[in-house]
Amino acid sequence: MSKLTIRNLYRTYTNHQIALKDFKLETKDGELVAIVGPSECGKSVLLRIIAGLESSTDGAIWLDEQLINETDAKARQVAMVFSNYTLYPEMNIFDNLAFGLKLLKYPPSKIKNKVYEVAENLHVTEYLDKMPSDLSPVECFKIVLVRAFVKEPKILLLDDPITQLPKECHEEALEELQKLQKITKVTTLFATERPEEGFQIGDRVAVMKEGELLQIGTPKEIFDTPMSMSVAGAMMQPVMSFAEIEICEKEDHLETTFFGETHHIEEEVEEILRKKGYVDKKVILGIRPDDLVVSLTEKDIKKDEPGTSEVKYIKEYSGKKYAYFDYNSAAFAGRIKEGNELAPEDKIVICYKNRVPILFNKDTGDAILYER
Amino acid sequence: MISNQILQDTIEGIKSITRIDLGVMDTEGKMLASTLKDVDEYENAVLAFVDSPAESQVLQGHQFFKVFDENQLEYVILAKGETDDVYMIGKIAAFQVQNLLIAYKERFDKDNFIKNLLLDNLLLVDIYNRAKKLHIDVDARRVVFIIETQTEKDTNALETVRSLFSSKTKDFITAVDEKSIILVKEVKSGETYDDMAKVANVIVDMLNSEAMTQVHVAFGTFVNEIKEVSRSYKEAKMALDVGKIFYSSKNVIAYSKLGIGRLIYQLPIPLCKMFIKEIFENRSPDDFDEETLVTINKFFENSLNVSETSRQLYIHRNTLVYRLDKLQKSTGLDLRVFEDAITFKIALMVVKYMKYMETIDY
Repeated sequence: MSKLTIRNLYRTYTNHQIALKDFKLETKDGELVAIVGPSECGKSVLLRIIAGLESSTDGAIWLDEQLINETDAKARQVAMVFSNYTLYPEMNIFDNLAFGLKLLKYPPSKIKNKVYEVAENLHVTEYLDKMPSDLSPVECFKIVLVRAFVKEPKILLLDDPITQLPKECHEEALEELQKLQKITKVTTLFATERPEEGFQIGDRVAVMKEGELLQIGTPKEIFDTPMSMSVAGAMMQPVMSFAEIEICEKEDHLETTFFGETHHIEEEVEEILRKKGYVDKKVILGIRPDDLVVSLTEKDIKKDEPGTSEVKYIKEYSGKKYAYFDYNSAAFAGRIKEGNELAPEDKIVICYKNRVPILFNKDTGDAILYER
Repeated sequence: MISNQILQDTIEGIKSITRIDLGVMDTEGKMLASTLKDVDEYENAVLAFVDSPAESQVLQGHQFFKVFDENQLEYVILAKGETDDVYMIGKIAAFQVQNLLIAYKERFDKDNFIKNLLLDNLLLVDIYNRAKKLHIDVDARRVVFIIETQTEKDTNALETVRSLFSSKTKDFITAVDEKSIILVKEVKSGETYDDMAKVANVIVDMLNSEAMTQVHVAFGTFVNEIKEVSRSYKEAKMALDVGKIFYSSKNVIAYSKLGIGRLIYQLPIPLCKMFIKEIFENRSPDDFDEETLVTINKFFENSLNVSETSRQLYIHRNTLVYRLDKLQKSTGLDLRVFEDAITFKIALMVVKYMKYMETIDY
């Protein structure tokens, strides 16, 4: 088990493109940190710099008590799996696992012991005599991971490793990954473009955008308290929608109106809004599709009648159906009420219910109700 | 040709199975590999055996065997003991070494042929004759990949590439200099450049993760005949160069996708100098500060969109406008105007090219 500490890491290319900007990260022993963000956001560059395959422009990387910025990649005790992994086609699984150790100049007897030990530990002994062509895609993926673990790395870096697998295998592959990681307890960074994967298996999730770390926390922390609109928008599918609302002063309390309904703002929230001067100002309300319930209406509704809209299209995520619609020229997604069968162009009534509202500053996009 | 280490491994392997001590000597009586203890005392016996016409002989409690390479005596094998069993084991060892010799020679010959083919060192008629002799298909569709490693003589990288491809006998792996590995790959029918890009990405990712080396991979276009393989090689080489100059953040470069870099790479330097002088007069783009260059780059990245660029640079719109105005004052080029922007972009690329040429000229 090892600890990785990254301080103020920068990477600028010769064409002045910025790949990483003031990146900070501290992992705990044996944890799995998922790094999520769109493509080209700097995830790969980050992993490559940690591995020593690319150099940083500025900043420090510590592995346990050792500064490794200048350490040669081969000496860093870091293992990697990239998206374009493959097994050596003409070698059996044992030789595939042993190959990396041969390159690291392990003596043959030690290689044999090591491969058997790790294979046993990770329950892949049955595969050792097989050829890669005998294995299913997920089994190949598993062996590729074992091949990385055989090297006894201090840190394992995974750069979007499951993209080449057929989509229906993703779930299973992620479970395998999580299982192996929990057995070996190797500190792991798992970069992915698909936030739901990160939220599924990460002990913590780090959200990146344009070379910067926006937020890091447990999946629940990030889900409940996204620090900015960027983080909220980068979350699992279906993504959060945003509505502009106005906080209004009414006699003795604050209230706001959206989707045709007036909502009384709770005291705790009111206190913060008053303190930060948001009264009679516009703010952004983040709405999770699960907090929005849409249902079919038979009533003949007029165009733009508050609280109603028309279904644009329907999408399904993890067994639940969501309707997408426009409201006040912004796009929203909402869960379809149980028992309702909706189709595009159906008229719907929108109902918002939430425990705690998620509010953002209209100009900066930063969260209002909680702070870093 | 066969390294002493391989010979040693071979006889040790046979010894571990048969428990018979063996040795391999050259024709001058020098011991190349051995499981025997006193290796010096056999020299005279071997020299006498070399001169005799016998194929095998018993001397000093050892049996001697000859290994030929096309009628030329190459090695002498010793087996300790005088029994029939030892004779049989000695024969097997001799047979094994003989076959190793053939296998290595074949590999060496093919390797040599491919090297010369890539470097245009062969006459057209020789290409076809030798290809036929070496059982290399002359009409196969092929493409050449160059894999450039960060460090010279990276044996791990070579090993990894060999393990990925070599056993498929139709692909060849060789090297013509110390920093790069060359893969001549047969292209199956129906395979496209996208498939080749995938192969290149697999090479990059596997070398990164297995050999822990950073590499650049470039590939040329498909060729249909063996005599054109060198063309694909030259294209790959050029792609590698162009990639280094203009697309430094990319690890895989295809000759078929060099973009504007392809044009600039062909320009004569005096012409470039004239162009740069025309655009920047006596200034050089290096004189711009880092901030300006970052701004320009982001502005291009965002398709000349002022609000998006300022947002991404975390500056106010007006600050960006001010910077662009300042640049316009010093160069006469307004980046918000498409024509000026394209001139500027090309000028920056030309400067990069000139700088690169300077580094390799001197």
